[in-house]
Amino acid sequence: MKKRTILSIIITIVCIALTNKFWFCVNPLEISFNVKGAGDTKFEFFLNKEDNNDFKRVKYGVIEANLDEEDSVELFINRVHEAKRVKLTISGISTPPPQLKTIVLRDLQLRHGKYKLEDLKAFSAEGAKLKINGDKLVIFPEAEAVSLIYNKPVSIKPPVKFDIKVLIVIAVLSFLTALKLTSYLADFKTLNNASRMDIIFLTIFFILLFIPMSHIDTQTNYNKKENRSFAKYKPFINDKQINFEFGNNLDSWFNDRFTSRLCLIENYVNLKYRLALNYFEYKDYVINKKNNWVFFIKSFKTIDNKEFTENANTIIKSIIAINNYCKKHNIKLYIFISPTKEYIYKENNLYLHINAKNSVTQFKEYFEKELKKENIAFIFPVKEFRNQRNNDLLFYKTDNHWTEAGAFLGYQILMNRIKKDFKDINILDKNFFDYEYRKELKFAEHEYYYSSSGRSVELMFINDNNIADTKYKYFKIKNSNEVKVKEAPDGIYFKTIYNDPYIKIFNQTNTWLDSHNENGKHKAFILGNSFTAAITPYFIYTFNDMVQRRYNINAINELSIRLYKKDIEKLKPDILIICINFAHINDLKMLERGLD
Amino acid sequence: MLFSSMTFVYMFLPVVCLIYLCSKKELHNGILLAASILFYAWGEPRYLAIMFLTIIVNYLGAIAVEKYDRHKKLALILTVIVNLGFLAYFKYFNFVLDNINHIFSLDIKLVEVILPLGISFYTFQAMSYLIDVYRGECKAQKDFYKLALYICLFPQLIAGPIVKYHDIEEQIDSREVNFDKVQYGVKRFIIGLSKKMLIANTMGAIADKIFVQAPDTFTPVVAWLGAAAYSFQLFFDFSGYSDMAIGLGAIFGFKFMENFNYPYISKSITEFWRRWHISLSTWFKQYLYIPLGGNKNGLKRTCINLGIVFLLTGLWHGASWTFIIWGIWNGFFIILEKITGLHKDAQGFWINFTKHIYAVLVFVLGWVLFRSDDLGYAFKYIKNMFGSVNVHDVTYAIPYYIDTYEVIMFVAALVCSIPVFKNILNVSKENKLLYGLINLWLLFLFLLSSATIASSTYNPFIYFRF
Repeated sequence: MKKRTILSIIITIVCIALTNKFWFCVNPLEISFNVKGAGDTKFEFFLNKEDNNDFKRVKYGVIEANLDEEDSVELFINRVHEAKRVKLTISGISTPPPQLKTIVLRDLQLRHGKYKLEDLKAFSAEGAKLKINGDKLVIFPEAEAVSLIYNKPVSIKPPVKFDIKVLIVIAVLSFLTALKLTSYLADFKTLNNASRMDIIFLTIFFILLFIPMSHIDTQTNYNKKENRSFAKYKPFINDKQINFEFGNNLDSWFNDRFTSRLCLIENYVNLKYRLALNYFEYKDYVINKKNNWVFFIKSFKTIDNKEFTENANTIIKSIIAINNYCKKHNIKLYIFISPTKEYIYKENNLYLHINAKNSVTQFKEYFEKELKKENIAFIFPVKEFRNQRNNDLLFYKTDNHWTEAGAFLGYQILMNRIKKDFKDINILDKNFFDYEYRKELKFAEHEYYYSSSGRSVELMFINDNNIADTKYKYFKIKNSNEVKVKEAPDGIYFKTIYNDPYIKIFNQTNTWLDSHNENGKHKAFILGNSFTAAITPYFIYTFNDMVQRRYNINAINELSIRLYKKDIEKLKPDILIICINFAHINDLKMLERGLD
Repeated sequence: MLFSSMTFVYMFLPVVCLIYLCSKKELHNGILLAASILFYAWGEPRYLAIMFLTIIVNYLGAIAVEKYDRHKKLALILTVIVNLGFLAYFKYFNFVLDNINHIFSLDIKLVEVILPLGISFYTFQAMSYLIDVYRGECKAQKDFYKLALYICLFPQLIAGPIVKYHDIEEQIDSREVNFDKVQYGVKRFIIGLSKKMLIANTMGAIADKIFVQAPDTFTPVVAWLGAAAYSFQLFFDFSGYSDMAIGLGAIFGFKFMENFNYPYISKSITEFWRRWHISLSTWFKQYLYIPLGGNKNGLKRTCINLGIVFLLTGLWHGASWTFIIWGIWNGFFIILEKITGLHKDAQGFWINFTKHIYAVLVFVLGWVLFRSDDLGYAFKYIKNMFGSVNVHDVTYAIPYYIDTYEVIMFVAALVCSIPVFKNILNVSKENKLLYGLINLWLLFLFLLSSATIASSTYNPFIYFRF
């Protein structure tokens, strides 16, 4: 009996400690301020526990407001035990986020005026210029998101609430339950030969069965890691009709949202990764553990002749249709296909048999022959990339995109071909750039960020710092700056600012860009996937007017002319470049859609 | 719904167990019946209609067989025809049509038919009930709900074991749910889940990589690797499912027959079929082989009976010539053993070893037939295994197929194919250390299997933003 009491007391103490949030808590921290601007705006507050500007251990609060009239805004952040630094991020709400207008902020205070951020000079900004006007802080945004940091420590200590009644209830209930449980377990020893080990085993088993259901994530609808939307819940009776797919729908819904899903997957995948000696394969990717090269498995497939010919002919038909459209509008069409890493660096992939053939060579020979008949410029620089592969790496080891060196090589090959038709075009050469070598991978959209490992590795859930073992060459255009735009959970976003007075960039979103260069020649419309982003900076300096559009982003999954006809006919370009990578060659099948 | 899905393990099972184990005995059958109907309807509710019709037909048929003694044979025949009619239409109609088109160069359009889940299993179960009533081995079940429970009991509904009515009749009416059965059932379920998720799926991934290629585009070593991997995949998948079914049955108080008894240690194909899919082979034995005369009418007649049984066994597995030829392949060797006496026990290590190698060769080659999409592929594959094919355009090296994890699973598969751990669940509770370790190991396997299931829910949209 004594043992049971002691054990029960220990369990009670543990329960009290685990439930501290209920009886030992702080009042929510109130933050208020007056603000005027324009449009729907989001305000995100970060309260740092540490006295620095890293903002790693933070409490977070967010509020949205319409700023068309001066508004007094108030929000509450729960469980702020201590805060030493304050950061505020301001951004627009719609997608894509609009350019922010001037914002006027005043009376920013915390905890009902106990802490006032009065020293406006202590504010610093990223993505904006600041001006102090009496007691007002005027913010002139220069980016889609503005970050304000109050560089003075605030040392907020909200009052602690000690709820003795809740503590007593928890303590008593825990003790009584623990005492009953220990007595029950002790008595079971002699009851029906039921072993205590079996009781514990079954208890653990049934507890495990209920864990995934215990906290289903109903809030998340989009998962950045998987790049997809989660399945929505569809009821059994929907609009007075029976949903016969209810079972399958609920399966999908639950599969996306059960408790600790990503944690479980991550640990499992990491375990398998650690066990693998030479190769680790997951979700269509394989990593060669000896040299940290990651490849996309489906690229290795050799297509059989019948399937290949059917496929190829569909693509060629579509390209010819586009070419006819271009001829009608006096546009010269260039199809540029970036070779795949799997072929260019095939020696690094011991998955392949030493004599393995690859569909790349099949494709190149067939397409060049067929498109030459129609006089269509088709550039697929396999040999050139193979020859240059050992200079600077042309593709990232742990991502399928080309590096800036690869993009520049592609640019030069493409422009040399264009120059045959447009002799006055100037092609950038290496002297135009400064260079640096970095270990990180640059995700090549117009607001880019650097990642230590790469998207393929992230998708594979691999957490291995040794994977980032290579430096890549980065091209810095001599008259440009890299400016921080915002910080997000997946990294810090940057933008390139071109300081050349002859260059104007407009209509820029993360994935498309229009430019005007007084010193450039001819107008070009660039259409493609993510491979265009790395090559676009070179086009900015080459063409007089350039419009770049990207498909396979957000809701746009097809590469078809119907989505861009209007933009093309508005620009009236001399040149239309379609730039994709070989892995997406089948996307060209839809190209002619909209040409009725 | 599959046993190896998140929804089943972490939604359906805990809720059903909680309701069942906390409720009164009188409610047990009703709860199980409701759960079974929900289980079956989960994927495609419309096919409940076929199952309900099967239950109604057999309910009325058995009553008619029992009531109309003079016409019992007619009632039996009619009901069996209806049962087989359902099976024939959903499973074999397009196969027959396709063959008619082929033979007579016709172009009859195939019917759009979706095979209802588990129809082969529950049809045979229903016929087992009917025939048992006809033979007087049991009384016709007057309670419709009890018959419905027997036919659609979810633990064995979609993948067996095929439970014969006389084995379970008493258990439907009176079975005990106690702590020992529940703990045994849970452990058996975990073992089955681990076999399926850890071993079978890993072997399946290897086999799929090989069988998807043209049979002359990989080396003989890889061909043997594929055959071995598929052999293990099939065994651990099927026996894993049976273990899960038996385990779930035990949780709810039922005792189902064993379906596998280490078939890969067999020294003859006769012995193999006493150890492999036992519920099916005993079904065919009791309801087809013995009524045909069994082995009572001389060797010639016995061989004919065996041929018929194995032809139908092949056909039962699927509407394809590969399955039929596989059935004939097994039948041929059984008949051969019958004639030569090879199936009889022998003395001497080397004789038994040679017999074992012979048996392994026969069933592994049989599995190549079973797995192949068509006979042409199967024959070319087998030729490749023996180096009789001109291999060309080899794309992948060995590391593509196996690495450390696959080797570990191969070793685990080999070890678990022999009765090393046969009595793992019968270890005495007096041996506390070993018993505790086994429990811990089982919990670990459960977590690992769950992680594998969870991993299959991860579906990144790879082409997005690429």
